[in-house]
Amino acid sequence: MGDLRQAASVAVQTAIIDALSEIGIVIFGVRPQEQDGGADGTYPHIHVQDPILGEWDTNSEFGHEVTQRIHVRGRGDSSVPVKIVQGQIYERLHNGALALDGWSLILMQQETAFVDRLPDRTFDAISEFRLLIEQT
Amino acid sequence: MVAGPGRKCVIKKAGTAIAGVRVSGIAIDNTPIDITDNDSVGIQQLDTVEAFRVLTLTVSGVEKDHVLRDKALDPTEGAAVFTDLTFTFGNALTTNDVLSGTFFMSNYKEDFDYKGSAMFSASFTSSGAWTRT
Repeated sequence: MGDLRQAASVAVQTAIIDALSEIGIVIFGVRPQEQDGGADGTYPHIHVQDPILGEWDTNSEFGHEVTQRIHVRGRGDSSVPVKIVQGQIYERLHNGALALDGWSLILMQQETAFVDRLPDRTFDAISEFRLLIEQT
Repeated sequence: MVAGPGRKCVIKKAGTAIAGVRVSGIAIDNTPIDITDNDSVGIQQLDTVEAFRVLTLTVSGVEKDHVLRDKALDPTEGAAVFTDLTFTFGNALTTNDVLSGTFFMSNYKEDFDYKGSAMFSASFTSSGAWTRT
């Protein structure tokens, strides 16, 4: 049971990273330390956070209601560049398809999107997606 | 005495569990024969036998295997009658606590929420005596 949950988390994060790869900017599943604000950080970048898995079982199959946050971080004087990438993420994922290893996607929708500003003045555009997946 | 999880209650058709079920249930309705008369001193009196007894099975969940949908939409006469439906209790005190009999699909419904998946619900009402084995 523990392995099954972990597999869902890996499958979702991997599939989303693959789906966003054609945007053409660096994508992290785990942000390297230098992205925390060092001068050598790569900006803009996309960070596909670890998904949050909720239960969505039926009698016959295991399933998850997934909350997936995706960050676009950028620097400069304007939030427009990160918002543009955020829009590209929306176009690719909202009501879109995903190839999930061991799971099938029922639904994927953007629930919220906003831009925050971090203490080091980095723009952090956060999109939150809701997915329904079930075991195949 | 030990409680049992609801998900272990299973409705099957022809020996195969209906897929995608979230909630299943049973209901027994008994209609009495009222024999109250002037001699009853204002207190209801009922006959010792029932006028009418009916067992209802209900099931709802995520629509997946189209088994009930196909039967519900089948225009053939008699398609709403099920002779191969069984209900197994998940917290039975005996090893096999299974209800079976002839059931009539009295209601079938599907809903499609734009933020969810296709959901179904169905009710089956008994015809004739049911068995518990």
